[in-house]
Amino acid sequence: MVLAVLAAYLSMVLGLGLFGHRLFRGTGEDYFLASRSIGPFVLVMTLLGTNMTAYTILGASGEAYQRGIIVFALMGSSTALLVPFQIYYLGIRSWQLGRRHGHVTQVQLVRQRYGSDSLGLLLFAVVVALMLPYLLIGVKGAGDALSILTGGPGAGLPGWIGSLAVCAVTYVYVSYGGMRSTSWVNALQTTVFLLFGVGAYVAVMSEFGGLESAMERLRSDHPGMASFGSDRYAALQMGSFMLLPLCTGAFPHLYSHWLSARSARSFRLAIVAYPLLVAATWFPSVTMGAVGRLQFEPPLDGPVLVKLIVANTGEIVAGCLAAGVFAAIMSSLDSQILSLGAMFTHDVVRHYGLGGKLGPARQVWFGRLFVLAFLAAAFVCSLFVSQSIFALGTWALTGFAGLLPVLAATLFWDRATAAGAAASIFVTAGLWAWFFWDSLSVHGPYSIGGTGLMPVGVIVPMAALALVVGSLLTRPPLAASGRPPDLAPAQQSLQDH
Amino acid sequence: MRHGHPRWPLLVALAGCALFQNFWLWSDHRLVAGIPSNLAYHLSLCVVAAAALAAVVRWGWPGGLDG
Repeated sequence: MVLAVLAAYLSMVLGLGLFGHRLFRGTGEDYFLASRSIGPFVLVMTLLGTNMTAYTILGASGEAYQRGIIVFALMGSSTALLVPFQIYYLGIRSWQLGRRHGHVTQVQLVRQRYGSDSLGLLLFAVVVALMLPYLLIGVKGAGDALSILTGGPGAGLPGWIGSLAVCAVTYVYVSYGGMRSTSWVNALQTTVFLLFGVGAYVAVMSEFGGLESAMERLRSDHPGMASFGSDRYAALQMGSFMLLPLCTGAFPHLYSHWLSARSARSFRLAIVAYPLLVAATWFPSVTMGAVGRLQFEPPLDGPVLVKLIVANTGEIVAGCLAAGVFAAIMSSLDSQILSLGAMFTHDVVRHYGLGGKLGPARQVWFGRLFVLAFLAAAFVCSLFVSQSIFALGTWALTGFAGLLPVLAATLFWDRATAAGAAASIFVTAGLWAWFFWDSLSVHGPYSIGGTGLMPVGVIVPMAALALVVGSLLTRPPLAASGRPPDLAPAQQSLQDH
Repeated sequence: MRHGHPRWPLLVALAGCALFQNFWLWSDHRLVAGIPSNLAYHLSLCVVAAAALAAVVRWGWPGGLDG
């Protein structure tokens, strides 16, 4: 039954994605940005769906199972607070410049703003490298979920089938329908997830006598999980995790969605509704994860959320949850691979003329092949990676958060220079690699020196410092001499479709 | 900022970051409205953030964007 519900859902997603292709106008801008035609409702659902990954659903609940309700603050309310302001400042400004100059990717924006090819290439390389672990958590999460839903390790379907199914379905509709299909499917998937999430939540909590009863038991059986703690570790953790949602402003797939908006007004609903929608997704995920501790003793052999559903509900509900989990995963995966395809097509193939005499539509095929290779790499990695989804996701988000100073300065600080931006990116990459290497020798959750301070708490300030110092030590760009940065250096529009 | 965005929403964001650090409640185990007090606080913070953002959109919308 679980598989039947899941197969029906995947077919529906595929059908909607392929239907989106019927409105395809045959241009690169239409493929990658849906001709900048996305309205407020689809935009808000897409932005939410894109940000709602396996990290939110499986990762957060798994972490809450270990650490309790603090996970809601560490990533839920901090996201609710900071992401809408990034949409307000970075999203609207990116949309404005993107429409004016025909940008499709962040690298185009950076290249045009600083007039530096090598800086664009550096940003491309770092973003692509960080996308691998971020994309990997979705692929791995789908495999883990399907395995548990069908009977668990050994008895159920092997995880690689779920991973492969998600990769294949997503790749087909993204390749065929581009941004329009991705946005439509995202809106559908976010709706499905919210509806099924509420249903699953009610079903599970009723088994514990309701939310209040479950929380009362959690407080008495595991008191540490019902509070945040008051030591220095908690303080450093809360302070540094606060910076993690800054990753959103540097996501290439969010940038693409910002540029797909029909008008600036389309952002209004997203900005206001975002905190409420984030709370509506993180609250059930975290509370169910924490309540899972009342039913299952560690160590677990799969995602706690899926195990709760399987143990406390019927097969149809379990199938619906599977669809909801897959919806959450695919609604991010599709945007991620579309933006990767856009970046490879625009920033490498077209920029360096690798497509030769091929037209823009044919050049898109290079992007599709690149995405196929990237997905294949993520799939293979998912077979061997043993780190938790939360840990993997946190590392990816940390790297993206370190890129935020450069992208914010690109949009708002006239005095920023290419040297300053390059210094900031190098500092981010170097510190990230150093901390990651350091974490390999640590068992359990990693913080710097075991103090509670997360790497993001060092990387973001240091990246910002490198940007400022590097910029002030180098010659001011043309823009700082009185011309707005979006007009300098004077280059032709990138609208080449 | 001459890009059309007013500065005061930044102060709203910083105020939100300050309110995020509810250290006076961190070790509190009480339930409020059926959920742990810290969880209730951060859930309320999300609602307050939505109200503040509605004000930002209403009174702090950058000019000349759709022209």
